[in-house]
Amino acid sequence: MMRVSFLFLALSVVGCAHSIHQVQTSDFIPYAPIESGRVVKGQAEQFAVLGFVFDTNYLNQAVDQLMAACPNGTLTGITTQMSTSLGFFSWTNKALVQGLCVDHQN
Amino acid sequence: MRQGRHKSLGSLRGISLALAPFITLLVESCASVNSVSLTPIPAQRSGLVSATVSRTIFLGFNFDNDFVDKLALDLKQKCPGGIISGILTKDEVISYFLVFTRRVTASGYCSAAVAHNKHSTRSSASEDETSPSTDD
Repeated sequence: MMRVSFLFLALSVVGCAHSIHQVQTSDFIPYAPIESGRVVKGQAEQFAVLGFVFDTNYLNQAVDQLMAACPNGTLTGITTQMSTSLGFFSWTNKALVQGLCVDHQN
Repeated sequence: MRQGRHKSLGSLRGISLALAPFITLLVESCASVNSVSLTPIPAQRSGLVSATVSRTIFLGFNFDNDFVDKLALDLKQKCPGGIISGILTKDEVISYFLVFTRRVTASGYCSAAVAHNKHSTRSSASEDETSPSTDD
């Protein structure tokens, strides 16, 4: 019984659960061959203890990062991924956005 | 007389301390994201427009989600005659004590239709053409 309790305690402390909640892909408009652009990404995280977080601004940070990585080009085929990594009485919300940056000179 | 006043002050302090956690719960809010989507982002990022719809729900009693329907129309009305691209849609929940608010926000870049169709010439479009009405 003691060993089983210890196992559960160890698992809860380590925190090994990662779950993805949502993935979305946008259109590839305007059309551009993959080779004509480069893949850029933006990511941000938010640490939550017992769910006490008061805004969702980390998402906007990820999008801002994506746009900063492609300042003069068009971003197409954007994928948005929302996930969570669980820890001990806490978790980390993660946002990852990736897109194809097509510069105008291409 | 004085002792009675002291006692009443003490009981008032006790009540305040007991109520403090509940007041904190009522005032504080926790936010979480339900879904996010992002459409292709244009090279020229001016004329940011946004629209928000929300509904506050008590104890989960909600019988329809019609409040979301007008979001797209609200956003479009802020960019008359233009094309909105790079639309970031965020569906979030702000939880209070026994009550939560569902809030959906959509924001994007409003550009003139002609400039958008002629993709190669968009970067040379004037600022007046590409930024109709904005709310930010």
